[in-house]
Formats: sequence, C-alpha cells, structure tokens
Amino acid sequence: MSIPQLSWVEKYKPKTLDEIVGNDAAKKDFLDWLEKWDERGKAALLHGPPGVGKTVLVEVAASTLNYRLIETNASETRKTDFLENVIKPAAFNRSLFSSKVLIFFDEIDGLSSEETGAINFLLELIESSRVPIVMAANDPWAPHLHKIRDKVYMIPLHRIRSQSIIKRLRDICRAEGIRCKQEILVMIAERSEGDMRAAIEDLELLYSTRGEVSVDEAEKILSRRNVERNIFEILRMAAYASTFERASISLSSSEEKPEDLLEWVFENIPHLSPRQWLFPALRYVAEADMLIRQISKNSLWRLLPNFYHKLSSAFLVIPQKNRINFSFPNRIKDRFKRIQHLKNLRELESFFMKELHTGRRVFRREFIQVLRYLSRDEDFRSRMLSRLSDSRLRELFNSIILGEETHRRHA
Amino acid sequence: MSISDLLWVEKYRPKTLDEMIDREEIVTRLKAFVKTGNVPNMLFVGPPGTGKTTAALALVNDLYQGSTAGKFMELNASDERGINTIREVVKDFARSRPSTEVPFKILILDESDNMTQDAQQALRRIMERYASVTRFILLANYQWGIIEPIQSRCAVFRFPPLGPEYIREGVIRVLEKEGVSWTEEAIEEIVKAARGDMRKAINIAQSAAGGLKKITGDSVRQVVGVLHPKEVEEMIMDALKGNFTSARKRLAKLLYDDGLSANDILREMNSELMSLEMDEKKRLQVVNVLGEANFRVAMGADAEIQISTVLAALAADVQK
Repeated sequence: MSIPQLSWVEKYKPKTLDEIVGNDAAKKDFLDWLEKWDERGKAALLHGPPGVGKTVLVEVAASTLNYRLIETNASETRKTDFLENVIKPAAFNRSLFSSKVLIFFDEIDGLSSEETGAINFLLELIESSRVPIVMAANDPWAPHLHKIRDKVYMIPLHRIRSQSIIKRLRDICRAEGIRCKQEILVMIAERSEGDMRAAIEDLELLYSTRGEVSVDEAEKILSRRNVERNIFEILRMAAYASTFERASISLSSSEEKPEDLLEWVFENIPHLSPRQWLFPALRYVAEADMLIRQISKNSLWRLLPNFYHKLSSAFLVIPQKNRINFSFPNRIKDRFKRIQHLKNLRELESFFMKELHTGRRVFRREFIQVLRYLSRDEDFRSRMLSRLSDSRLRELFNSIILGEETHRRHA
Repeated sequence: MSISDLLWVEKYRPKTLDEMIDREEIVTRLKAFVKTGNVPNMLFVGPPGTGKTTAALALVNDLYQGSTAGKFMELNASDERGINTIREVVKDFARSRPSTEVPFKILILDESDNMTQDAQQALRRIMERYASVTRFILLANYQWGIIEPIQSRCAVFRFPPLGPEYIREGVIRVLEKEGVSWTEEAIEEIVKAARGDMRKAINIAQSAAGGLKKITGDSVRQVVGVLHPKEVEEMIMDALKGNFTSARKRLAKLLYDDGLSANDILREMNSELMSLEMDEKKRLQVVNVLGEANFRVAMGADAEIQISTVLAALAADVQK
C-alpha cells in the first residue's frame, strides 16, 4: 500500500485569510473575537455543514495572529490522560510556551451523550482557561451539547455559493494545468451542495489521473462518488465511535456490499492505526474476512451482524487513532486490472505448460524467471518469438515476459 | 512450431526409461509393467524436478514404442475447469477405445494434490468407472494431499531429490551436447543451488550460459540470484523491521503480479520462520497466526487479508 500523496484538498488549503472563500461575516466575526479575547472571555464555537472551512478558518486565524495551535479531534477529546497531560497544562500554565496558545476542539459533536467526562472537562475549561478555546461542530444542536452552547460565543458558517466554488475550482485547474469544461465545474459545484472540500475531492477524482473527461463520463464517475461520500462518513463515524454499539450500528447502516465494506476497512486500518495496534486490529479484519466468505458461500445471512461486530472490534481495539482521510481501496480500483493480468497469465502459461510438460506452480515460480532471463539474449528472444505462431501468444509473451523485463530494467 | 528445443530441460528430457538418471528402482518396476503390458493406476510423489513427469512420459513412450499420439493425455489438476474436464476427456477416451495390443489409454494428471477433496472423490469414481479403458498416473508433491481411497487404488512411487553426483552427471551431459565449456566451480555452484532438483539445475545452466559457450562460477551465481529471488524472505524481514507498508507491497507483487498461490507463499513463510533468529515467544505467536491464515484461505478467505495479518503479527511487539 503506498503512502498517499498530498491530496488536492491539502495542497490547495488556504494559507491566508483572503484565500478562504465565502463566509466573510464569520471570518470577520471570529477574528474580532480572537483579537479582543481576554481571560474572562467565553470560548467560541464555529458551527456549520461539512467542508465550509471551519477548521481552516481556525488554523489560518491562529497563524495570522501568531497563536500556537493545539488541535484535537473527538477521539482525543475523550481521552482523560490526553486532556490532563496536554490540554490542562496548555490552558493554565502559559509559561510553558513561549508563544500565545489557542486550543481547538474539532468535531465536538462527535462526543456522545454518555461521554459526560469529556463534556464536563470542556465546560470547566471554558470557565477557567487562561488561553482562548475554540470548538467546531457540524451539528451543535444535539441535546447533550446544550450546556456548552450556553457558555460559548456561537459563530455560524454557511454553505458556500456555487459561484465561489466554481471560481476556486478554476484556480486549481489553472495551477494543475488542466483544461476543464465549464459545464463540469458547474456540475461539481452543484453536486457539492456548498461543500468546498467535497468539490475539490471530486475535481481531483476526475482529473488527477486523466487529462480530459467528457461530461457523460464525469456524470458517471461522480454519481458513484456519491455512494463513496456516504461510506467516508460511515467509516469516520465507526472509526471514532466511543462505544461498540455505535460503531456497529454505523457500519451496518452502510449500503455498501459487505465484501466491499471489508475492503475499505482493510485498506484504511493501517493508516489509522499506530503500529502497536495494527496486529490486533487486522486480526479482527481477518476474522471478518473469514466470516463473510462463509456467510455468502453458505447463505448464512442471519450471521451477518457478527460480521459487523468483527469490523467494529477492529476499530475499537485501537485506543489511539491517527487522524486520517479515508481513501478509496486500491484493491477495488485494481480489481479489474488484476483479474485481466491473471487471465493473460493463464492464457500464456497454458501454452507453455503443455509445451514444457509442467505444472502451473513450477511455471510461475521458475519458468517465468528463466524465460525472462534467457530473453535478455537477442538470439533466444527472436527464436522464441518466431516459434510463437499465434499473434495473441506473441502479444502475451511480450507483455508478460518481455514487458516485465524492460520494466525491471528501468526500475 | 514447438518451442521444446529452445529450453534445455525440454530438449534433453530423457525420452525412454533407460535414459533416466538415479531412478533405478523406479525404472526397474516401470519396465516390468511395460514388459507385461499391464499398467496399474499410479501415484508419483516427490518434490519438483525429481523426474515424475519424465518417468510418466518415458513410460508412455516405451509402452507404445514411440507412437504415442492419441494414446495419452496430460492434464493439470489445478485447471479451473477441473474435474469436469477430466470427466469429459476420460469419456472421450472410452468411446475411442485404442486398437493396439495395449487396450487402454493413459492420463497423466499433474499437481493432483492441488485438487479439492470433493474433486478427488469425483476423480476416484471416474477411475473406477473407466478402469477398463484408462490408467491414471497422478503426479503430486505431497502424498498426504491425496485422499486415502485414491492412494489405495494406486501403485505409489516415491521420487526423492536426486543425489549431488547425479545432478552433476545430468548437467554435464547437457553441457557436453550443447558444446558449452564449464569450470569446476560453476558445476559446484549449480549442484549447490539445485538441491536435488534436476530441472532447476539445467535451467540454471542454460541461463548462465545465456547464449555463450561457457559458464563460470560467477555467471552461475548471478543467475541463481535472479532466478530465485528471496522475495518471501525479504517480505518477512521488512515486516520484522516494522516496515509494514513495504512488506505489504511485496505481498501484493507475489500475489497479483507473479500469481503465486497463498498456499505457496504461506508454506515458504513457514519454513523461513523456522530458521529465522527471533524471540521464541514471538515465533510461537506468528506461527499460530500463520496456521490460522492458512486454514482460512483454504476455506475461501482472502489471501491478501489473511497474509497481511501474519505480516502484522511479525511487525508487532511480542504480547506478554
């Protein structure tokens, strides 16, 4: 699995306040609040739908006003030792840090009503902190957050207008050297429903691997994308869920085929998990794998809940999670390519197996390498190719035996 | 046109039983069958490159005195069409009963230990039903991969690895015919790398010659490194060092580019694990996970997911 390169969302993240698109009132409001903050001041809560720039606004404002930002997500916020050992000293002992400090709790609506410890900690912190506290939430109206709501300065952010999104997308296209049809930009912007992050993700999905896309193609790719966005949400909820039940409910609400859901979990868990938790987590994934194959082979669908339980366990066994952007599983992406390659290999080897009176295993393990090695010799190569009477065979020999060889020489 | 003269292993494959090296006992028994014209069903068991296929083909050749066309058939048991292909072939055989003095045809079934239990049961029934017109020669690496009822219907022949002196003899025989000169060191290196596998020995010799008329210790060593890369070992070492990502990449290559079966990879991992230096507690843990993975893959689980878990176990600290 390759380490994901910088996504366009990261690459084109605003670095100055001017670069943040839309929500001018909220920008001004937040900056004023932060500049005028004194120790008796309340905390602020930025709230609004996903992808409108809440996190970015906090990050950019902090760097503009020279704050050192301590950023935490919901899963960190529920950890007592993290709160006690990192947040508390930062909030009360300013001398520890040379610069001004801003503490930011992202995704506080990720805390559940049962997590009273974390909520009480936040309430106390809001009362007594000696540094500014900022929080962000998609949905601040959950009942269990009402005490927090009462104590903070609420700053709403709104969906970004299509026109602004289109403009931003066009800037990115220019920077990436992409010629993108206006129609497609409009399509992306409208589908995003004011979510800048989603719009940029869509743009990347369409253009990062292709030079040009027709409107029809774009439509097709993006409609699949809708389902994906749904699964990103589900995975995020399951991964950062605090209880087994929540994780399990979240996963089983997925409309994804169980086998595909498994792919998502399998591919993302190594990024999510620090090394020491990887093995216990993957062990559950492996059990889920076993279970789902048995379930679908023997039509044991009443056992399906157990499958979701195993996957939930995989997430829950990781006590400290890395913050990641879930990514589309390579295995699903490459599935077709791999099946095709295997088919080609089979076709080529069925010829050689007959000619060399050999089994599949010996052919794959030994003769492929031998043929590659011998084909370095011009004479051998041309004699071999001239014996392969069938043009399809020659093509396969070229791609599997010789193609691989040139590929290696370059590597 | 055939490619069989381009590869030395095929070009110099013994055509008759008499040409075989270091298989005297087997050859004696097989020749007795030829003499009486009565061939039982047979099971040839042994590691790769020990003469199983060669003995089967040579037997057919001796039995039909060189005119073998239409009298035998080779099939690979790991073929996805599997048992149905075998059934059809045997039915066809039965319909066109041979008219020679030898009243049956021979079906050579390679990698038969790769067949599932169900397929083997079906094979057993076919063997019984068509016993009068067909004889089977089953080739397998492991005898325990063949179900008991089939074993008991076969004459079992064991093919152990060839002794070093015979590998030497076989390689030199080929080099002489090809007019390739050699150094003593080259031969020693080949014998060492082949470990009793004649096919491997001859493949190494041809690759080392690479179209030239001379092989040396250096050219042989270079070939051995390329032909038998230590990919599985390297994958394990990556995982042990905690480099899980890189180990996963190697695994994907083995599975999807090289097309190795999970079974083969796990078997190699297992033997590597036994010889590696590591904490015994850890070895125990990893071997257990590996066993689990092997079982699950056999039950239809996903190879990459299961083997990745073994790699994660290698990368993990020991659970106290």
